[in-house]
Amino acid sequence: MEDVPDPTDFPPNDIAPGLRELDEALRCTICGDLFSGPLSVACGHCFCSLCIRTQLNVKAECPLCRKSTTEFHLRKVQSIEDAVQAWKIARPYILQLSRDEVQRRLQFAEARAALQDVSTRSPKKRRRNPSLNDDDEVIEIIKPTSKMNGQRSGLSPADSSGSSTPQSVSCPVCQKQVPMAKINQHLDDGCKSPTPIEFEVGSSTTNNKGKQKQDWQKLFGAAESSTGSKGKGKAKSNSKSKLEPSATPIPKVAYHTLKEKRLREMLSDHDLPTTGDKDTLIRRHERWVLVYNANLDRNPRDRETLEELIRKLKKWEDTRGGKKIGVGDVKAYEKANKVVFAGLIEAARPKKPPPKPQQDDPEHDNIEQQRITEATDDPSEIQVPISSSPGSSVPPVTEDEQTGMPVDG
Amino acid sequence: MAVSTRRLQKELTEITTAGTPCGITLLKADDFQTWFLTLEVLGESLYQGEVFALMFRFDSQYPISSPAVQFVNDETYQPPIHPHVYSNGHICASILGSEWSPVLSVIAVCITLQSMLASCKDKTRPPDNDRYVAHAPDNPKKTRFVYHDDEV
Repeated sequence: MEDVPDPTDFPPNDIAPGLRELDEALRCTICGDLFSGPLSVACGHCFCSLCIRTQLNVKAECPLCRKSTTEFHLRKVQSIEDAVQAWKIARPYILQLSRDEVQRRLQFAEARAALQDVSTRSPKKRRRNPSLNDDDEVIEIIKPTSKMNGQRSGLSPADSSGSSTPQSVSCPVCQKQVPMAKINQHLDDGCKSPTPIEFEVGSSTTNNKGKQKQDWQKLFGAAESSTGSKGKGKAKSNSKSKLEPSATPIPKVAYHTLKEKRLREMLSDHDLPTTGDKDTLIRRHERWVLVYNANLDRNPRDRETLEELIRKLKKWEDTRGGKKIGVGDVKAYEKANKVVFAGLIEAARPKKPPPKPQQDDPEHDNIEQQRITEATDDPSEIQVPISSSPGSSVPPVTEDEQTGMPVDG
Repeated sequence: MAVSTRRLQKELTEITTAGTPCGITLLKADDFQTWFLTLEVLGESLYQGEVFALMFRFDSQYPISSPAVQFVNDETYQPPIHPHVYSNGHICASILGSEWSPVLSVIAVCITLQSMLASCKDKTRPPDNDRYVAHAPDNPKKTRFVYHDDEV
């Protein structure tokens, strides 16, 4: 299983006070990752741009406090973005420091225990024990638990504090191998260096960065040939470049008024595949608007290239995006299950006038009645008239408790 | 890694490092599609001494879309008898449907269901249990529940 960075990477509060909280505070409560293009909503809560934009398409309320909010309330939170940027750089370093500290304490405790054992016999031991705290030993003991740690454990604090060995480390953000002397510059540049910022795909062939670009190109080659999208090599080469800092968000589209042809045009304007039925086209464009606009919410230097966005869009479509959640094509589903539904309806009918035990809940009866009619109308879903506590985890108060009324009169 | 997988991986890490709240234990989480947890109401309640199991099913849209949550109904575990829990294990709770929020988590859902059981005063099945169970879809997310009772 891949290791995913998490606040619990840090030691608990008694060893490293506040570090878990700090790490948690800079994470989006929806995806659990460090904020990417943080946006605040009307109530002031903050989320990743893509997370909150996706969620607002589902429901126009703050996921944390349920206050109603819309896309118009979204505001970029620059200071949080800066804080995240700095934390991404500081995190591996602080993580290492805090782990060293844990080790140091552990060894100190062991040493003291050993000392207590022998102290009565040989008090000289006391002087030898502090040498156990030597950095080299600390490093040897730490077990690499993750990719990141693996590399970092090879790097002793002496190295990080200024030795200039041409060692390469993996970037904590993009996981690429970067010469250690350039890691800070690399992070400052938003993982673009050491190769100069590129504006064209395939123009670079230098070291590992070039290799990754080649991988992308392979992906794109495959993507484009499989979807049969033409429209390449037209006068659109400039849209293939990195997003301009001045690029503007794509406005939302009222899809139901659009003809399929226009949809295809809109997609090909962005060099997107134009295959699939109207539903697929709509979902593709909708998703594109989301990822494109979310990308613009990031600092220009952190933005992804259009190629990267398109690649992600394809991946999204392959994993789920093509399909709606639940029953995709209602008509086809209905057709395929016609016999089942007929059976269900037939089974439900004789039960319609059941011998009702007397009930003093007329509202309940109404809803049940409604259920039966709806079930016949739309057999793909069954409606049930019972419910439970709303969102909160607090045990709901019953009416008796609220009013304090005696039950017996 | 997909967002849903990353997010579930984080939840799993938290469960394994920080532990689960009282009365909730992780039974099985071998992949990022289906998890099982056990649930038990501690303290005074109608469900004293009973242990239930919950099944969580996640789609690739998690946490934007809610997980499909139901009580396990097999030889080892039976769903609790509760006005909002059907005998096939389906649960009628708004946070699993329209009131789902992406900031909620597996553990948050468990805690809510635990408190739903703890506050139960009348150990009965839903009034329309038989009718619902006869026609219920496999996935409770396909059921359109109507939430009219926010008392229990």
